[in-house]
This record gives sequence, C-alpha cells and structure tokens, in this order.
Amino acid sequence: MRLSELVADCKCLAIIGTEKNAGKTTVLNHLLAADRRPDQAITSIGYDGEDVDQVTGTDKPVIYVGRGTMVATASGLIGQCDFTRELVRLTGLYTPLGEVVILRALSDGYAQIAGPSTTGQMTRLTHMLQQEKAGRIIIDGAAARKSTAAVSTADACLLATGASYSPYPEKIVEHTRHIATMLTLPADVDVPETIRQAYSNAENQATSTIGAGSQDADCRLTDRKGQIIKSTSSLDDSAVEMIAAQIQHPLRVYFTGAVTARLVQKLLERTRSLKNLGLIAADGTRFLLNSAQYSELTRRGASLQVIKPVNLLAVTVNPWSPEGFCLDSNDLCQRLKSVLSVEVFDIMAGEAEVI
Amino acid sequence: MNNPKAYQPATTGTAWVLANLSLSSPYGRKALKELLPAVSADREQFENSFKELAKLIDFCRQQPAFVQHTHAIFRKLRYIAGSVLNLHEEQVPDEIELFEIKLFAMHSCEMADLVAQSELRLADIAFDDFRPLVKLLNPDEMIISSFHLHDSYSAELKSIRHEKRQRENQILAATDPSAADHLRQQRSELVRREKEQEYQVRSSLGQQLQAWLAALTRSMNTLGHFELLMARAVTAMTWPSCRPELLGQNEPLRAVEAINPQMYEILKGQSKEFTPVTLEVIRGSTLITGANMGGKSVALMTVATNAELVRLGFFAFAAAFSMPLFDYVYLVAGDGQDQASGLSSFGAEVMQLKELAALTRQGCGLAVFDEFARSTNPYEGRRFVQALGEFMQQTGWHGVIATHYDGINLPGAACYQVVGLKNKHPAAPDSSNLRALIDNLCANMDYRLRKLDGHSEVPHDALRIATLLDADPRFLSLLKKLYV
Repeated sequence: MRLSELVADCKCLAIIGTEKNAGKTTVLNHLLAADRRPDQAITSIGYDGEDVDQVTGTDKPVIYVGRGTMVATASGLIGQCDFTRELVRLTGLYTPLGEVVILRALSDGYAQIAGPSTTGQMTRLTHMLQQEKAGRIIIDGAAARKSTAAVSTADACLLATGASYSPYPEKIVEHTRHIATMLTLPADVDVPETIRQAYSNAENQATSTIGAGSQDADCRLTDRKGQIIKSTSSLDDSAVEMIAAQIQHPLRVYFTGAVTARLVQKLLERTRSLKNLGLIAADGTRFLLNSAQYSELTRRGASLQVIKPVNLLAVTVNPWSPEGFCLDSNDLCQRLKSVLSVEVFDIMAGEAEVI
Repeated sequence: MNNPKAYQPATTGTAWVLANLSLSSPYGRKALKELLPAVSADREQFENSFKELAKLIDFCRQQPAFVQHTHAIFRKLRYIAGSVLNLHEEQVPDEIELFEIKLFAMHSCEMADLVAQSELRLADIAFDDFRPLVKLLNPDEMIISSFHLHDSYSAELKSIRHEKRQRENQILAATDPSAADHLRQQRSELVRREKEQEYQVRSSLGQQLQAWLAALTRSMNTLGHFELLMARAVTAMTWPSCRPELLGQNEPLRAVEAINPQMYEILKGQSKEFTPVTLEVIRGSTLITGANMGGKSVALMTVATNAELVRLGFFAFAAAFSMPLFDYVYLVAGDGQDQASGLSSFGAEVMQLKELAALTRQGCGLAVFDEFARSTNPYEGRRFVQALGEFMQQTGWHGVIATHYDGINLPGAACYQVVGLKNKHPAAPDSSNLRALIDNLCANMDYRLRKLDGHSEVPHDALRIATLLDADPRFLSLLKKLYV
C-alpha cells in the first residue's frame, strides 16, 4: 500500500518527527502532491524557522500546495506565500507572527506556515477549517515531544525519522522504537470523572504545551476506587515522596502536564517495586523519559497509560542527513520494520516526485 | 489600555451590573469604558435618552428574537480602528486590512437591514449605508464573506495570473527535471509581477477608501452606542425595573420597592428573597437605624446603586423611582482602612468626608454614609453622627446615614428604622452550623423599613441577635447579668 492511500481516509492527520530534519515537510509535500484533492487544509504547530533552518543551517524545504488547498498561517507570513489567494477567515487566534488567517489557494504555489502552538487553539482552528468544508486537515508538527497540540487534535499520526538523529542505524532504530512506544501507550479505560474534568480544564487554559513553569497541581494521586487522595505540582520534589509513601497500595498517578525524566529518575532512586503504580498522562508526547528509564519502570512493574492514545499509522524514513551523508535506506527500513508494529515508508525512494 | 478618565463606580452594586452587561463587540466595550455619569445640567437630554430606552425595552419585550439577532451581529464585529488609522495615514492597506473593512461594512449593513426591517425607530441610532463600499471590495455579483484581490480590478493582473496558472499546469506535467526548473523560474518571475500588480490594486483601493473613513469612524461609535443601549435594555428586562423620573434639585429621592441586582442574585442562589427597599431621601438628612444584621447597609446600598445607575443611563431597579439628576453620588462606607497609607478606617472616613465636602460646589449630590464613625467610641461617635446630620442639612446634600448610635436629635430629618426581629423571643437555633444560624436569623428578621415620626430611635436587639447566632453560652450568661 502506498502512503497516500494509507492516510486517504484521515480527517485530521498530524506529521511529527523524531528530531529536526527527520523529513516531516518532505512527507507533507509528498502527500500534497500525491493526492491533489481540493478539500485539503494544512497548518502547523507554531513556526519551525526560516528558509534556512536556524539550528542546522540546512535548506528548509518549502511547502508546495495545489490550487484549492486551504492554508492556515500567521498574518506575518502571508507575504511569503506566493500562490494567488482568497482570505477566507480571520481566526482570532494569535501567534508571535500575528493572527492565524485561513487562506484558500487559487493557484498552486509555495506556502510558509505558522499555526497555533497550544492544544486549545489547535482544536479551535481545526473546527473552523471543518466549518469551511475541509475534508482533510494535515498538521505539520514538530519533534514528538513538542507535538502535543498536533497529536491531541489529530485522529491519526505519521512519525518521520531518519539519519538526522545519528549516523548509526541501530541508534536511529532504538530511538524511533522508543518514541513509537510512547506514542502508542495504551489508553486508561477507567478514568474517574473528576480526573477527566481536570484534563479538559488543563487543555483549555494551557498557554504552554507542557506544564513547565506552572506551579499548579498537575499531578493527582488516586486510590483503587478512583478517589483523589493527594494532588501536587510535579515540579515539587515532594511529589515523588508523596508517591513513594502511598505505593504499598494500588496507586494511579495522573499528570495533566508532562512526566519528566527528572521525576522518573527520582522515583526510581526512591522506590523498589512499582507493581502497584500506574502513571497516566494526556497522551504519549507527555512522557519525556528516555528508553532506559522506560525499561526500568516496566521491569519494576509500573504501567504507563494515556488518556487519549495516538493512532500511529506509519513511520517514514529519510536516509539523508543534514550533514551530507546518506544511509542505506533499504537496510534502515528493514531494521525498523522488524521492531515496529506499523508500516515503514522510505520517502526518498519516491512513488511520486516530490517538488 | 487603561483609560485614566474611565469612570470608577462608587458602589459595588453598580460595578457588578456594569461587569455583567452582555457586550460582545469591541465597540460596545469601548462605549462602556468611555461611559460617564450625567450631571444635573443634562436633565432634558437625559429625559430623551430614557424615552428612547423605554421605547427599545418595549420593542424588545414584543420581539425577543431581535435581541438574539443583534447579539449575533455584535459578536462578529472586529476592532478595525487600527486599519482605519493606517488608512488615515495614507498607508497602502494590506489584504487583511481590506478584509477587515469589508467584513465590518457587511456586518454594518446587516445591522442596518435588521433595524430597518423592524418597527424600531431610535432617534440616536442612524447607520451609514455601506453597500457601495461592500461593492467596492466585492466586485462580483455574489457577496461572499471572504476577500481577495479580484481579477476584475486590473486587466494586467488577470493576464499575469492566467499565465502563471498555465506555468503551474506545465510544471505539474513536466517529466524532465531541467525543464521543470526552467518553468519554475518563469513562474517566479510571474509571481514577482503579480505581487507588483496586487500592490497597485491595493494602493488604488486605499485611495478609494479615503472617502469612507469618516463614515467608518462614525459607525464604530454608533455600533458601540447601540450595543450599550441594547445591554441597558436587556438589563432592565432581567430584573424588575422602571423608567426613573427626573426631578428638580430640591425634590427628594423616592424609591419604591427598589432592589439591588447583585444582592438579589446572591440571595436567589441561596433560595432566598430580597426584601425590596422603600425609602425617601430628602434634601438634608435622612437617618436609618435598626438592629444589627437588619439590612441597614443593604438598604443604603440599594438606594445608592440605583441612583448611580440612573446617572449612567440605566432604568432604576424598582417599582417606582424618582430623583433629582445628581451631580455626584458619594459613598462613605467606613471600611476604607488603608494600612499602606497609614489610615485607620476612622481616619479614612474623615478624609472621605473632606473630599466629599469639596464636591458641594459642583451642584447637588447624594451622600451615603454607612455607619459613620462606627469604629470610634459610642460617646464620641454619637456626636460625630449628630454633627454630620447637621452638616448635611447645611450643605444641601441629599444625605443618608445608617447608624446604630442612640440619641441623635435632628429636627427636620427623615427617620427610618428596620422593623427588626419579628418576635421578641425567637426560637433558639437547632444547629450550630453557620449557614443554618444565618438562615434562622433571616427567617426571624423583618428587613422592611418603617418611617418614624421625626425622631430616631435604636432598638436594643443585639443580645437577642447574639443569642440567635448561638454565641458561646458562658459569654452569654455573663452578658445577660449586665442587662439586669
């Protein structure tokens, strides 16, 4: 099956990457070219840089949209889009580059996109795009850990990976496998109503994508009956003490923000058996732990779950590194296939020319 | 954003009503920010405003859907003052500015149509006809709610775009990469020419818009004014209200069954009813006495809130309400303790009185004192209140004082008393829960005011009320010994 066929039925698709330069935009261009459907809409999480990537100095691929495509981008970037356009709607959602405006391309052309960066704003934007009759929305995401707004809004997700992470295929495979595992953590099927409410509140007021900087209670401990027994800020060192003190009994800990590597490290140092412990976050992008920590958590019996699981459809591979080398694409794809339960596509091998 | 001239309400009741107005457009909110209370000289003009408001309220009562329809339009309005200012400065408008102005003109037309099709005729509200402006920004036959620099603005633009589209089709069809590259270069030259032409078009539209700037500015104000008027009407329909009658400076303020919307809602939330206030505040001094927790402050605040709202162009929340159009409403509430400035609550009262006395030169005013000098000793406090009462008679204020000090002797003052505890031996509370205690007290209290004939008297109900509030029994027994 071709990638464009695999995603043909998605109403809202997020493309996220394992790292920068993992080929997200190449995947986006590929999908736009492979299926020139007129009811398509695109946007992105925030703005990923300029023509030249600020971080690595590589050429940033631009997005080429077909006639009819709706583009939701910041007003400050409209001048850099070169398709003939109609202004469809002013959204009232603001980014550092100005208000997000919905444009309709009346010709083909290059687009620069900067969309909202919070989940609440992204949800509102996708609703507006649907009101304007978008049959399929594609969100150009960011690196997985920064893509909360994309995955929590979308109904399906593609993960782009490639040589930009490491020259060693085994490292790429390990890293990709870990991110895919986090993204596809199982859903908690029995979330108490009060906790659901807390997640929905956190989503509506969030101005940052993760809970960093907030001193509010973003960590709630519940007992086997689903009653909240303690709530605290996950940034507070006492959070780990609180968890350790309750761990003799079945304990579920709900995080409305991020589950940080620091917290997990302290938890691993402070406790032995974790067989009673369930750690739950809104979705897989909120678990900011490395693969060693994840293995150790599960080895000691902890279970990790999410409120909203991500529907990961496929992993795409970019064998080219921004540093100029190219890995054996076939070999990398085969290795990834052997450890992943989803389809793997080599974007560069190309079923269609990418403009 | 902070307008230094913005009016600061004297009463929390007024602040609450203003904060709860349904204003969804930036123009309505701006009109509220710029709202200033009327003064006595505005009386005639103000009578007309109330006549208009009465007309609007009658109309909205008959056509409730009208409120929803206007609200739906107000909600769509964006603030275009920035775009209008840029045009004033003769900057070439960008596409977003043109889009904003088009939307504003369309929504304005929509409002004008809605009002024109209704039976409503208001003297102050006249909408400009923006149909030619909409036509300018929407050259097609069909009016659409989006905007683009239409081909029909310029023949050259049309031909460039046509050529560009052809190149794009050729790029799509190209199989040879170098041929595709060549086509892309041609396309980028066409993009450059398209942008140039678009600039010309925007610049020409900007010039044509110059003629509309005055009307746009006027309409922003009209819409704001209209939304604020609608909000006043909705407020008047939400609570019992009446058109206030404006009187001469020597006439008393007469409130019949007045309510305070804020308190009304709070009590409603507790399934209780607000006891309406009927009171006449004469020029000179009016005294309200009564038991602790008998609602003296509520009565005062209800009168002050309504007087203040009337000055702001609202209907009074009462069965009938008449008053001189005051030049100021001033409240001395005795809770102005400000440790930062080193003033105790008593000190603050003295300073406020000084401030108020300076206002007397500005015409007639309503001065409201809640438990003046309450925090000083009763011996001196009584003298302070006595002096204040006499002072009010000299200054010509419509002054009203709530006090629990005994023995105030003011010939010519109007005196009221809260009826107070219904029976002299009320049932003891059956629960020590605070809510239950207060509920029990409320049930035993008659909050109505009764007029006394020319003298003020203070009921001695504090002991009974303390009993009703379930004060510590050891304390109560000590207290009772002192009453014998």
